[in-house]
Amino acid sequence: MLEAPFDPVKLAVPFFILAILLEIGLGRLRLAKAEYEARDTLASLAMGLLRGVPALLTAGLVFAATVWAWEHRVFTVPFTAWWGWVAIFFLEDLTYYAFHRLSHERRFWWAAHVNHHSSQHYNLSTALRQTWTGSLVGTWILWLPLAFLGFSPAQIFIQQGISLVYQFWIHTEAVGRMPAWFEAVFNTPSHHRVHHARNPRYLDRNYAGILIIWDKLFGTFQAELDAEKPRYGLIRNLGSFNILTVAFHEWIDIGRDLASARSLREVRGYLFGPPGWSPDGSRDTSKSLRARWAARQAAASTPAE
Amino acid sequence: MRSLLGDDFPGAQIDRIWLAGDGSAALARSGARALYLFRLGDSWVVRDLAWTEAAGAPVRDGRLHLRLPGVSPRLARPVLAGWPPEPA
Repeated sequence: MLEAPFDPVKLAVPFFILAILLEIGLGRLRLAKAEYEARDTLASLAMGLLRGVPALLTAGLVFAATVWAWEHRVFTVPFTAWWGWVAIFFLEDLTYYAFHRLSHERRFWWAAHVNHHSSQHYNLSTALRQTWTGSLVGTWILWLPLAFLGFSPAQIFIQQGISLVYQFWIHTEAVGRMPAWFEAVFNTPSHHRVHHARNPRYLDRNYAGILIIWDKLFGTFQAELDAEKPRYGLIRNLGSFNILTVAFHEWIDIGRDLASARSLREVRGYLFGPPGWSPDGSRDTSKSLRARWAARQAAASTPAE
Repeated sequence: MRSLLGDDFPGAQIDRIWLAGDGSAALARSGARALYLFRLGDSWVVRDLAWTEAAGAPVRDGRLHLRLPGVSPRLARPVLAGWPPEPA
């Protein structure tokens, strides 16, 4: 099957809107923790509303590549087979983990993803602060193996949508912790608050889409600690609500860095090094921030002589 | 303000801090660095730059014209009480 019979994201849009309104209402009534700032929320909503426009530039290419891969498939997974949906649930989620990790750990892809993390608030509207340049940086290639395996383009599209819809509700402070068994297996508001936090302890952790098991398996899991409240946003937060700044600021920074590069090594580092990479190591990366934090922790726990 | 700066620059020694009268910004000296803190909506944003750049920034009509690193904003124009600092 080439064309999906339904789009989970489109179907969920009314739910998104109602849930945001409910969260705002509960926050105002102090019945739940929900902090909204009008301009921040508007920026998030605008990023979400307009995300489809740049994606149109590559939609044809992505679809054609996926169809081509499917036409050269190794197996055929029937669209209606229950086991096919079980298999794609796990495989797509693993693919999402890889995509998400790459999107944080290498600057070229971080530049497309950073806008999702640029709010200092953490509420349901933050979930809609979606990328405008994500489809241009080629990460859709990561999903092609699913088509080669035999999952139809429609099935891949639907499962991607299901994952995106699932990830909406975890962008909230209104939900504390889910039951222990759920927290152990699934990505939850608590786990994802850690992911959006800029505290050094929490940096580059919890890349999960639906299942948190991948982070536990690959060593990137960090539980939310009651003693360390997440502080949201970026290492150096944006000083603007302008959506063009939100969408393109890291690309502009990359352009400036490339203009100052003096060697191929520097070009490679600025483009594909970790975010914050610099030739002389003078800028902060997640790794250096975590290392300094760990050193401070160690010093604080060492008794003075 | 010191606490907010401490979040972003943990362990940084704050030598002196200049506050905007309306509480919307602060500029701190931390050795050879200047740490600039300003309000954005209900949140705070920080930037750091060389102290020499901050100390040498022009003041026009009582406003410091501070060139900031990063994409946005490129220029801050706070009115800081007690600025400019007296030469050492």
